[in-house]
Amino acid sequence: MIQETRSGNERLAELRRRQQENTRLNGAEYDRRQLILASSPQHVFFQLNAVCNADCIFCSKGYDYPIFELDPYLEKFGKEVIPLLSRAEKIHLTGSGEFLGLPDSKKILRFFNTEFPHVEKLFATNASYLGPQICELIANGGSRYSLQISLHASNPELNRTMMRYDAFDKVMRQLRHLIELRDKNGGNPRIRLMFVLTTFNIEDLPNFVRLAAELKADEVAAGYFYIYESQQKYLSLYFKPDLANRYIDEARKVADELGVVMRLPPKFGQSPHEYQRADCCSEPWTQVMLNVEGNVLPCDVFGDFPETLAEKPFREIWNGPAYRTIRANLRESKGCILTCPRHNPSSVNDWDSHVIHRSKGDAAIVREYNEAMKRP
Amino acid sequence: MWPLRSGVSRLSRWPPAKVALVQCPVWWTTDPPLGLAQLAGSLKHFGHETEVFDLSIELYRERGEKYKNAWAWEQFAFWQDAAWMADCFRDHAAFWDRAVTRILESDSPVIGFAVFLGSLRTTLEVARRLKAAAPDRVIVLGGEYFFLGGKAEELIRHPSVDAIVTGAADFAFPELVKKLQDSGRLEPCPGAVVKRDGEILSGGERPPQDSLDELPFADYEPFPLALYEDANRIPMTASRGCVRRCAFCSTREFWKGYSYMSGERIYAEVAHHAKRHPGRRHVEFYDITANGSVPSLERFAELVIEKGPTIAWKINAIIRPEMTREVLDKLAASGCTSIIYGLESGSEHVLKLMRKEYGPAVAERVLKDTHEAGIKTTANFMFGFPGETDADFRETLEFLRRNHRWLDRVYPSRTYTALEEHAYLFEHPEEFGIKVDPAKPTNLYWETLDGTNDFLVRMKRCDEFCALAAELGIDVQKGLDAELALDRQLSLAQYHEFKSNDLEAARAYLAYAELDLQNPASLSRLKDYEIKLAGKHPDDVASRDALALVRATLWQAERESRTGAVTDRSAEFSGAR
Repeated sequence: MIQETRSGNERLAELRRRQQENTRLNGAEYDRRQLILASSPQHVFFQLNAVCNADCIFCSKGYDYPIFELDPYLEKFGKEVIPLLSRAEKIHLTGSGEFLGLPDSKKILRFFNTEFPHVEKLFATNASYLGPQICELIANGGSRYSLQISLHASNPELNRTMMRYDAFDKVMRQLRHLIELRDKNGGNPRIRLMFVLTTFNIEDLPNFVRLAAELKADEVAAGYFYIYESQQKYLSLYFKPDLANRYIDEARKVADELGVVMRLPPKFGQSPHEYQRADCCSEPWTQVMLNVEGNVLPCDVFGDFPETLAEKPFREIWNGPAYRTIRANLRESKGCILTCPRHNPSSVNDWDSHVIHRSKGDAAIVREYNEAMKRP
Repeated sequence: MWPLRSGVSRLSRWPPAKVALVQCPVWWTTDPPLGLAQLAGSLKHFGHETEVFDLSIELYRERGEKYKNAWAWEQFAFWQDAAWMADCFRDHAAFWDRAVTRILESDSPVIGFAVFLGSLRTTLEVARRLKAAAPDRVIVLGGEYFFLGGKAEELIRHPSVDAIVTGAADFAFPELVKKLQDSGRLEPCPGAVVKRDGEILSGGERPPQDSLDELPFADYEPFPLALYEDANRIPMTASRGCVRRCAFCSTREFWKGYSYMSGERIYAEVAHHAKRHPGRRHVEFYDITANGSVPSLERFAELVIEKGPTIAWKINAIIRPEMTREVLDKLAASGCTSIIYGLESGSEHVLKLMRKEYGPAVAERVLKDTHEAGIKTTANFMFGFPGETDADFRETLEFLRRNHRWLDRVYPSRTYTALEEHAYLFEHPEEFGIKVDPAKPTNLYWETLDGTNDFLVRMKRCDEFCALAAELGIDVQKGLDAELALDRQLSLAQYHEFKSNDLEAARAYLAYAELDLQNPASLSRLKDYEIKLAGKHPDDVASRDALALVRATLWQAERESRTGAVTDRSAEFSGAR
């Protein structure tokens, strides 16, 4: 730990120096595909599960996850986790539900601001809890944030349909306030507006870009909806490719005209470059996922991984036999990469690109596929 | 025991003339040590009783987790490392104490050790303990290690050594024992040097054995046969030396030419073993050149076909025109299932440089006929023989492409081209354009004066050869008990160590540790490099990174060693053994 007697600037400089050294080393160790690493991961996904006040039509739901509480967590795992987070380049505050709706949310933000002012924090929010105090903590807490705002519509009616709650006007007010703070604060936080593309809202995408331009959001990101259950197939643009292509083109045109930075998925009929299978995956070298119960995971789609901070120090897990086996396999393009849903992307034109099969057996997948193929 | 008039021993009883024969680690684990079995046979033939202690196989079976891979070929060098050896004795203290007690309790006044470079340190330590416990026991060393190069003159001065057999021990050792029995004191005899009252007495050279037909049969009965990994195998040798004079090989120097058994003599011993060990139906001939006399080999095959027993057998052989399809069919019919040829190169030019007496055309014909006779066909290859150009090496690759159908397996040399002591190449480096640095002698890391051929060039050629062989569907094997990836990594580490490239050596040892994290020898090297790298300038980023990784690796190894989460190499490398 850095001595408390040091001034704030010296402390920050020292934290940054250690962080940069770790990031450099971590990148180099990945480049060399080492099995044992002296560095710690530069990306840490930190699960903060909460209850959600919205009920988005495209959500996979996940209310059975344990809710995050800061103090008990720090008591159990703080000794291991704080140094790890301090060396990270980015902390992804992830998990199920609306993190800012947690009773502890302000305390959590203060904790991250104080302990890790040098680390960029990223999280997704529907912005309904972005009150003045929270906005202050994000924009003026002496820390760096990137927020992904779930909106999915440019108007209150469609937003209500998509997210099944009534908070659009409030969200807009709070967002405008945060953006004002951002502009006064040299661009912190960075704000990205999110739009999940479905048959319900695709026609609204150009207007969503206009809204982003008007709000002066930093970026717009759109992505296709994933089908989790066969009943959700009516939402998938897989069955309406021409419609999707038309509005993607139009949104691109509007974004170019208005100077909005926009991330769009590939159009139907177009073979995305991601269609190529990757030779390796950097995640077991450069990132880690930590959940509320202390479990450690190489990534969000990895299967059973028998390692937990409840039993051994992070360093031992990070270079232990389980991680070494994953890395050894990956550097020969074997192991989990052969079946990874992210690294084996089907073309946008394939059904598999639009479905999440996680936790389903082969029979269920076939049944759902046959069901879904009955075109709506 | 026999009374001695003076000297090292004061033995108090007369016959039985019992001799303890000891094999210290490291020796291999597949089958019993052949040299010791031959000696046991000779001693028995001359009326002596023997008791065998194969401490190598016994320790292998009892070894601690840390030493799991220590019998693999690439670990050989570690058995010569003093610190590593001290750990090995400490970690297996009860085993060694028990071994020494058992040898002493055998009540053998003479204790003979079979010595190789890999077993030298363990032998001397066990001898020291025996002498400390019982100064009157006579310690005799023998083995090819002492045949040349003044090793016997050097080691006879060791306080725990009383005599050394300097050549073939079949008759010299029994004679030494007999003289001791008769006179009650150590007497030199031809082929042996002894130390008596501090004085070193040599019996001079023993004339080489022209024919091996007079040799007694090897005796496997005193061996713990159940401990060896191959329960079907009996090792044997039917010849010594070689008929060829390959520039890189020293076999002829050790055995002064070539001597061999007649077909009838080979058959008699094989039939004897088949009868004594009916469960073992595979005869592994360890001769360097089993086909030095093709008529003898052919006669042996005829006798097996005519009289039985039904056995399988395997030989190492040279490529020669006399290996005709007719001969090969006969060998196959008698049970020859596998032949390993010392082919070494597919380039006419390189074969000439090596002083091989055949060209690629003969080799192609012999390989094809062997394979078509139904015999598993294996060829050894070397890389970067001095004078081998890149174009020559490409010819070897082409040879492989042309003949891959006839090659079931290849053994790429793990030392690529070593300067074997006493070989012509070793004795005449200037003739081959090899740079000589008397301050830094090396058998492995030599380079040519023109700078075109060094260890890394040879390693690269070997890598390319292995990749092509694998692509062509040929089984690429280690030839000895070794894991190719580990072996390669260790070679690289030792090369950089030799060249004093601290950073590269540390990196290579780190890569080795990735494959076998608990290996005590590589961890010991990493501890040395931790100190060396810590002494580098702080702005040297590469050294700093390597140091951080050395520390992370040592920490992890120590942690896993404590918690028992040891990596099982055999699981990671399926089919490694």
